[in-house]
Amino acid sequence: MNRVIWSNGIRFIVLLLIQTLILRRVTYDWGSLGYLHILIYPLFILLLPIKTPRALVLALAFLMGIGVDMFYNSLGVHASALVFMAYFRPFVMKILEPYGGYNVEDSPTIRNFGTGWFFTYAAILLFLHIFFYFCVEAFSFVFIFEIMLNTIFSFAISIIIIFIIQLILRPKY
Amino acid sequence: MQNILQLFARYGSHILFLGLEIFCFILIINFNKTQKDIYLNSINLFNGKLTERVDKTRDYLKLQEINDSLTNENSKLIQRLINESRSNLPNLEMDIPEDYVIIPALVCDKTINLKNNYITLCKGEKDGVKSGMGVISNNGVVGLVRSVSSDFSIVLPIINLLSRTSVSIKNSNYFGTMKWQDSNPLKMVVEEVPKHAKITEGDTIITSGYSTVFPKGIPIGKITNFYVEQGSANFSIDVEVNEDLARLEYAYIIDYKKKAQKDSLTNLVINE
Repeated sequence: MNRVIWSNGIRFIVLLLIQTLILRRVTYDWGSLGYLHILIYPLFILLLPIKTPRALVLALAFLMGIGVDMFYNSLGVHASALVFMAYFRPFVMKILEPYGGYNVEDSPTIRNFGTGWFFTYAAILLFLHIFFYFCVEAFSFVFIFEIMLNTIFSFAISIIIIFIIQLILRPKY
Repeated sequence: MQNILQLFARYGSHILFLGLEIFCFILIINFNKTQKDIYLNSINLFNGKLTERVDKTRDYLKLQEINDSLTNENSKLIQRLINESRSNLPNLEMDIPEDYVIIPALVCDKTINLKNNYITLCKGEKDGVKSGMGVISNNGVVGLVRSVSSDFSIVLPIINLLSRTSVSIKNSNYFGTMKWQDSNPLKMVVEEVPKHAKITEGDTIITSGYSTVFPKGIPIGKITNFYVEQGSANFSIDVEVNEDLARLEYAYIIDYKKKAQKDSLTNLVINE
């Protein structure tokens, strides 16, 4: 139990630091079309144990989001997107539930559920997150073309990096 | 209270989600310039649209009321228009001595094709009309007021076989009595003009002013023909009148202010 808390706590801090100190600087400028972001901090929410209370997931998502926002100088944008993603996490899990059901003690990782399952799970939620993020960033559906373009490319690069990290580290918790 | 707690227990995460999202959006709007601008613009636009909608709806709901008031106003205006057309009669374009009172009146009804024709005017006792007053138009003499009710008066026009008008010939000052014989409303006959009078065709016939009804000098018509009836000592003069009573729309009732004085004096002398 303690190990779960510890590993998640460390993951929170490490992801926050990587995101804000390193990945914030490798943003690719598209000029008029906007920016290409690499967003890996949602991984923290993705890897929270299955049995984590919903309210706690939301609260942690909000904290993480606000933390990222502090550095991105966009107070509320990342937080709202991450809370949105955290809210949909249980629904996506429900859809992807394996035949035998979940072992509530598990964390949704590659090691526990396999590469294919994790990829689907991560892809759906990450897409929701990034799409919502760009929507809120543009704040108007007038820019729907830019929103879609940014979403697709940022999603692609982010999911690849998240997946690589997972394949390398293969965490249990 | 328990219900609220149960609600939180069941939907707590959903409520928390909504709460956090609302809080995030408040943060976004307050701390991000682009989003703030877009938000303010949108809100203004939305407010404008909403206000417009509300106004339109309110206007629409008021429409019945406005309609009613407009209908009311319309009926009032129509009423006024009718009254005005009745009361706003053109002025008499004729010089009448100052001691005559002039009451303009609209012709309400008239007959012209009978032996004894009558004209009804829309002014009566209320407006100061009394029986015996003279009635003229812009072109000449119309007749005499025969009887009066409170709102109407009946005129005995010159085209009535009972009508007699004292007239004179403008240039020679001989006078006679004009009456109607023909069935033509434009033809009158002047009688009792002495044989020695000098008469020319085309001369004008005017009122004599000897009665108290009409002032002197109101033009009546032109002489078309004159002759002496066999065995008569007087001329008969055919006159074509200026005023076509068939077309008469307005008439002016005239009242001689000194009528009573003149009449009483005359009576005094006659009775002696």
